Amino acid sequence: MKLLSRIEEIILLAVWRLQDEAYGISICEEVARATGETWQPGAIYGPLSRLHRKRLLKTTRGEPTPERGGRSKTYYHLTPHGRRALQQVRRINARIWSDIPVLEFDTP
Amino acid sequence: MNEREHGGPPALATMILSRLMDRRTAEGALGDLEERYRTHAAHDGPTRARCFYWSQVAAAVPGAIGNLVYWNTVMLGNTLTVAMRNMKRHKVFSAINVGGLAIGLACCVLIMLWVRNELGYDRGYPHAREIHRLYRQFDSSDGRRFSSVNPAALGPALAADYPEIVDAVRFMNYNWSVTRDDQCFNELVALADPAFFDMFSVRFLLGDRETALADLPNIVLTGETARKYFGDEDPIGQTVRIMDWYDAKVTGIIEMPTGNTTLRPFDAMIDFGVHKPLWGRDLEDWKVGNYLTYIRLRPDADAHAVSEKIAGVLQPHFSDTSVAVRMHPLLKERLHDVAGGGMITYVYVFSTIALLVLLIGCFNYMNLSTARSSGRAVEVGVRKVLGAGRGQLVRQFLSEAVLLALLAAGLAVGLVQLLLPHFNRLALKDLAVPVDAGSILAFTAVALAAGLASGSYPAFRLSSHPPVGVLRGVPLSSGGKSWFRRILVVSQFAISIFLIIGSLVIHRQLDYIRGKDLGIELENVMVFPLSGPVSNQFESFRDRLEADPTIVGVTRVNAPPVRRESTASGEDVGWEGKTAGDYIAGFGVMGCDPSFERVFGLEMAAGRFFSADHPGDLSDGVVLNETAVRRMGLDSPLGKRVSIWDSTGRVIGVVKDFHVQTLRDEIMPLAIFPGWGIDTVCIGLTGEAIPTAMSLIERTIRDYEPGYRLESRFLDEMLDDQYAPEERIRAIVDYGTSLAIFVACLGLYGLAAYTAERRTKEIAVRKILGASVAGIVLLLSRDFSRWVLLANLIAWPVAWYAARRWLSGFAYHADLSPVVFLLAGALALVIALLTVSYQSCRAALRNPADALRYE
Repeated sequence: MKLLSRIEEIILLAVWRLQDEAYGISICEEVARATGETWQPGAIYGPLSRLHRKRLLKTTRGEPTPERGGRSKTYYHLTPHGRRALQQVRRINARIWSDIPVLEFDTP
Repeated sequence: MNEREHGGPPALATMILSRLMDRRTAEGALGDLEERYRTHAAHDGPTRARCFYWSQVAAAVPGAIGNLVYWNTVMLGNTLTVAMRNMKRHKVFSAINVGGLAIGLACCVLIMLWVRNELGYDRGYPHAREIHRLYRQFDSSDGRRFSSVNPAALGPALAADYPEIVDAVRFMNYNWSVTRDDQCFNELVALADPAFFDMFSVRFLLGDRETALADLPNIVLTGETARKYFGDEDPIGQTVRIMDWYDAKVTGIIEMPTGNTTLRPFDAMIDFGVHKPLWGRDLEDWKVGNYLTYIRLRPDADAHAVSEKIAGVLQPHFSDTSVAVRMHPLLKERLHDVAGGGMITYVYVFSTIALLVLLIGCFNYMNLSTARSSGRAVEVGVRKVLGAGRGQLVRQFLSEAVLLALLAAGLAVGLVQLLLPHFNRLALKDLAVPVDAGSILAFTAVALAAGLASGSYPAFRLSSHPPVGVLRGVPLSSGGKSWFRRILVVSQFAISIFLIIGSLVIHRQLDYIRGKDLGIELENVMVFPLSGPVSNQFESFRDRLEADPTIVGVTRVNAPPVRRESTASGEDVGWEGKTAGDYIAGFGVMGCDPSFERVFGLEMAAGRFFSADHPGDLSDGVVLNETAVRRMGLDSPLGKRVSIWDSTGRVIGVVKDFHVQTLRDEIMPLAIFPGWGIDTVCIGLTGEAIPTAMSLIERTIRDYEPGYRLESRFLDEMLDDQYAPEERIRAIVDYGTSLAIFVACLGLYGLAAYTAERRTKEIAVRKILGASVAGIVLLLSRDFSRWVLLANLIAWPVAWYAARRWLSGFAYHADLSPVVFLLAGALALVIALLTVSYQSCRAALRNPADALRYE
């Protein structure tokens, strides 16, 4: 299986962390919190729909609410496929970090 | 939804966003955005929130546009590839399509160039919009008549009395001999008021515009004329001799604004006032019309109001007829006659022909691409199955048509370059292919329009194939909607037949005119203006020439008898027995020598022509033509006294009617006075040894006037010139017709090829079952002949109507015989059958085994 890109990894993790509460805004906030950078609200929809196309995410519809102009929320959930992909990334991350000599990080 | 009430984001922005978004994610994303908007609005106020919302829209736009461009380019690339492959695979069809469109486009370009040239007349004068030419309109029980010449007093009086009129210019040009030392040329000398220079924005190369024509004996030359006489010398202050009348001093060298003009050409200009000392003309006269008159209005003047004001100024001077002054804008001089009609008709006729040829080309494309639609059905089916929408398919086929049209446009440019010199000779023009942005844009637009028009129907037809049937292998009936194709073929041929009839009618009419007995012998009669020394000793000059056997006779006239120079109106004509009710709108006046009858082979209906044996004839005689006698209501005309203007005489004879104009106009009543204004020599030659006779004439004149150079013309040539417009129209219509038929046949050829191909197996089976070759050719040709016959039925009434309208412009015209119509129909049928027969024969002669081998 093709490796996830970094942004895909971050978003999948956000969705996993949020569990049943993962929709556009919450994902965006979670991603911002995790990376420490502000994200344009539109910027996550591209990766989200790519992940959806790859069957790593599935969507469900919530109830329409007035503060959303009568539109329903689209909730994202990991598919088993998505879970496996995260596990794979995690293994790889662990492996590539494990045998590295101690890095001297420059203080900025 | 009202955004204020609900506190939602701007509706417009939402709409734009939803347009830009992928439909699948739109619901969730838009909802998220709105939620954020509300959060913002609650925290920072609605303005901040709106800013945020719009910034999201702005962020989305570039990507969306990029996507659009990217995918459209990809699709276009694909379309082009497919189109190219298709064209390569079906070379004949593509050639027919491109060729037909290219010919149509080339026709359009040539005709548009011609139209542009015609519309461009007189636009070179900066004041063109303000300049009007005056006409007189006579209304009487005898009908309405326009006169292009006005009395001398009219122009100056108008300029003086009406503040809206800036200037008036009286203008007339004459063909005079102008001599300097031993150089003598015939020049067109214009007599005009000095205001001419300002009105027509004449540029002075030398001399002073204010004083150039201040004195009567001054003369102004055009640059070219000056070079002819003076070469590199300074012409100012030099003198030239006008006829044998007087010496004129050159005071200016002028240059007219460039561009085509309806103004009469001239080589030199003299003040209009010369009319008075020269011929004793009364320049305060209000009655006799002799001069062209132009007026220039103030730029802010309302032309319509002015024309109403001045309409009646001549009426007080005419008691028994109604006369109105009419203003005709200079810019309309070229294309519109003051009486209505004019060249504008031909602008329409030619444009129509060009459009029809283009239309036939477009029809070809529609026809052939729909006929062959079954060939593309599988492609359409596959595309549809893969998710192509109808709109995408329509766009694909339209792009194909446009691509083809652009190819055709490129070819058309080449064709135009190739044909333009020929077309110029034909139309007597000096057209060039314009390269300015506007023209190129217009041409591209026409080409695109042609592509879209011809692609539209096939695009909708082709994209409508249901994919399932096609892909399952159910044969597609391309004959299902072939009625549309039939209509196209029928209209193509109807157009062609219409044009054939048109050109046949024009041919017949011109042949009729040429063949009609004019009643006057114009062949081998040469004509030139009379110069001073010769006119003084004309009798001896005449006797010396007439002694030569190659010369029939020498005579003098007031004007070459192929055009009438002088026309009197009702009141100017008086005769014994004239009653108050007798009014003849136009009465021709002519002057000549007694030898006129011999030189021109006239026949007398009664009495005799002027004769040297009756000296009284020359002082007090007049000859009328039959029309004059009839219109004047004279039972026994001989001996009656007739007066026109200041000429008067007793009728000594009646000459049989003869034409002095083109056959467009009816024969006018005519009075011939001996010796009236005779300043033109006509010499009748026997037709043998013409060069010898001409050099003899020149040598003889040189005995009187050394250095004379003979510049003469033949009358039949001059008459031909008068028919030149019709000749040009004939030629252009002929070419248009040929091209239309050619393009239509191209299409028919393609269609026949397609039909033959489609029926290959049917033909093979028929042959095996014993059908003869002739039978199969007949089978394949029958359909097409039926269409052509139907086309005849449509074309005939339209052509009949158009031909009648055109012919009614001629006073003498050939009858509209049914033969023309039958001939045109037969011609179209034969051409169509010949076109089809090649394909039919090929199909019929093919070995049936080849076609059935794989069955």
